[in-house]
Amino acid sequence: MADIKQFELPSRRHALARVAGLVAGAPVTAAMAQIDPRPFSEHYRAKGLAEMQTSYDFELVFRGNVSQPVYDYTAHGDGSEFNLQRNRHAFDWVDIPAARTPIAASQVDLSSELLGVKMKFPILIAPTAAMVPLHPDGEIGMFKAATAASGTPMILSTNTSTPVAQVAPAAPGGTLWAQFYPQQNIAVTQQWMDTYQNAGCKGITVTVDQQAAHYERSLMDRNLGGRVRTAGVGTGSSTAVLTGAARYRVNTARLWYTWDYIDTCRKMIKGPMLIKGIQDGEDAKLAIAHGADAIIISNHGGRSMDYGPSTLEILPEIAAAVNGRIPVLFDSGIRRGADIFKALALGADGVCLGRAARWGLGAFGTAGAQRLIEILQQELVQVAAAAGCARLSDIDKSTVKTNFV
Amino acid sequence: MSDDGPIAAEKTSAGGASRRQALGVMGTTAAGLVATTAMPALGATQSATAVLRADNPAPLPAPRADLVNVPQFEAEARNRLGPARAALITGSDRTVTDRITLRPRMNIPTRDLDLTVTLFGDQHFTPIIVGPIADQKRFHAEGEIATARGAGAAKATMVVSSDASMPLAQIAQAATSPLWLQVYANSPKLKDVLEGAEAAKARALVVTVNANEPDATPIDWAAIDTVTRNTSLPVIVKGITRPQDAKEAVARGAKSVAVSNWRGGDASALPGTLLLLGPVVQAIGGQVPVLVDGSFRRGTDILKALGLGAKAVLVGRPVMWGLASYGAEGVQGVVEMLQTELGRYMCMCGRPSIASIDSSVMRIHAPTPLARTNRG
Repeated sequence: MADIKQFELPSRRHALARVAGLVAGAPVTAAMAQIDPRPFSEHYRAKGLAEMQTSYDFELVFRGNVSQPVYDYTAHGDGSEFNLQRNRHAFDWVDIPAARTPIAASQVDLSSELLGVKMKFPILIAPTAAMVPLHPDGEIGMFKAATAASGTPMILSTNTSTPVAQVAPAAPGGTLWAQFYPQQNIAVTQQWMDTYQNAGCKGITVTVDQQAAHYERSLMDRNLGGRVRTAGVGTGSSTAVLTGAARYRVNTARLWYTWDYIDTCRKMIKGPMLIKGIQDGEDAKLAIAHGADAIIISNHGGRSMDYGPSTLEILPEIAAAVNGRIPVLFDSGIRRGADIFKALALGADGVCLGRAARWGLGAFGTAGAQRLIEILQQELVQVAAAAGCARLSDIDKSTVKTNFV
Repeated sequence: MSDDGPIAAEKTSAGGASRRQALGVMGTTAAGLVATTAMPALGATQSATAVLRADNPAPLPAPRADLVNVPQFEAEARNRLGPARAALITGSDRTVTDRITLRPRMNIPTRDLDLTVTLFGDQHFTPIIVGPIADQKRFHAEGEIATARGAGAAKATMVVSSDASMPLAQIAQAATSPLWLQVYANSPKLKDVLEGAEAAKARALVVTVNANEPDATPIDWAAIDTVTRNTSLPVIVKGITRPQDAKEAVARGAKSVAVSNWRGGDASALPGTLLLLGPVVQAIGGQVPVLVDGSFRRGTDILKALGLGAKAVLVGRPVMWGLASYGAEGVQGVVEMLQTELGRYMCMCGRPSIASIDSSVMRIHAPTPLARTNRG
């Protein structure tokens, strides 16, 4: 038997000293020098749900809650992000002059009917991917929140993290539409359509933009961690003979899209078909010619094409091309009620919330998403009242002054 | 970086703290108390402060595969060359390109994308050509030889400067893509260049006019005549900014003109050439192809030049950033990145070939007014 002393534990004091030594030498101790010298009550802190006043308040909380890849996906845009920034700048190029005869907010009623759905406010939830990583409430939480916020319709992304069959029944009385990306295989397309329509989604949105987007900022942020994620240019030693776009290392997965395919979808969709990603008057006319019941003017929130135009600056042109034949929805850059007002004034029949809705859900789950939608609804009503618009039809071009460059 | 919500918030959230951060601070306070009371002799707090005050270390060279766009090569080159040498090749003018937006079009199949262009009977893989830069040994030990290897790997034509730091014969040996030769009008080197052109199997001659002049000076057309008389190669007159000069060059037998306002030094001091292009193309429309150089940093910039009527673009500084940072591999990387970006945005604008690009691919805007904050 070994000497009993070999198993004797060090004294508690000894152990404590060793822990203290570790702590003293640890980099975290360096943070001591940065301690905010002000009284603790004056320190920055994360605000609570009841303190949220604008959509941007949610963003800070959301930012703290989610992981870097989830943040990257939500925040960033294609290429140099010129288009991501321009989407926001364009709202600055439109002014809303105060009306000579403002009305009381209580007199404002912005209800309308869109593709057979009665809406209290012209606001929808845009399809954005994978909401469970934002918050455990996920897509179900978002649908409940949207429905609780005066029946806001939600468009479910094809890249949902909760199956549509589970989301659809989660909020009785709510409106759930589905979005999907064209699938070259017609049988697969039919499968998607069946899945959505069997789950009860009447409106189907076909997204046609974002054909070859490239997220530099997300890649940069990942590379900062020292892990190379790029596909190394010029390192391929494949002997395969490449043709077409692949010769130039362009991702060809979505470069086959055609209007003929939209005709095929039209036959499969029993309810309304929405075409999302329209950014040109000519394309809007083609969408109508190929059976669209509505279009969504969208550049995917700046994720579609760098150096593309902001959606707001092309909205008047597209609205003129559509000329009231079908509803025109609008997204990319909506952060405030005033932004919604500007889009409505320039010809949109409704707007979709993408990033902003994600901020709400990511910050406080279902309750946060609902509160965020309600804040935008209230802001919109206040702006409409100040501009003297009691009804949706009063919000027209005469209520804004555009200074597009 | 912007007034856009998400990005601006990134900055703010570094200053604003969450509950998690507050707890972390409490934790370190407690740890500090333990450290200073239990082991005062270690002086933990002082050493921590010293670490915090240390200067930022020099940035580490980034692995080539970490770079995701061409401007990143510029930062990389600056780090490696130091400010003095880097100043020769850094800078760019974004003011013109930032006034132009592209027109995305949907549901136009572009899988058969074709970037090839034919110039003087030769087919080029893409309309992106490596421009002439003198004395490339300033930026990399292998100089023009590495550039030729990199350009060849990217299947791009390279223009060799008459002031190259490597013998033309060696550059030609390293090259696997066609070479063009550049020489200044009136240069005493003209004879050497014309003699070397055949051995180097050069496919064109670029004659640079009015380079390094603070103001445009009258072009010495007699010198251009001397060149065209003494070579059978197609002659490209580079350095044209005015339509009447372009017409004159064509009248004197030039097979192409290159719109360029290169004057050396920091490129951000030069106005972009994009808007000079239109009048030149109009003046000699269709007679000869128009080339252009100046501040092409992204594939979208090149697409805009093609939309304004250029047949091909010359890229100089970015290629040098690649050379300075990674040698031949960097040259290849920069050129291939621009090729890929050009192809990508052509697809998204529904333009499957170079010939399908016209001015309707874009809109030219007035200078952008300063954005307000959109916050508060």
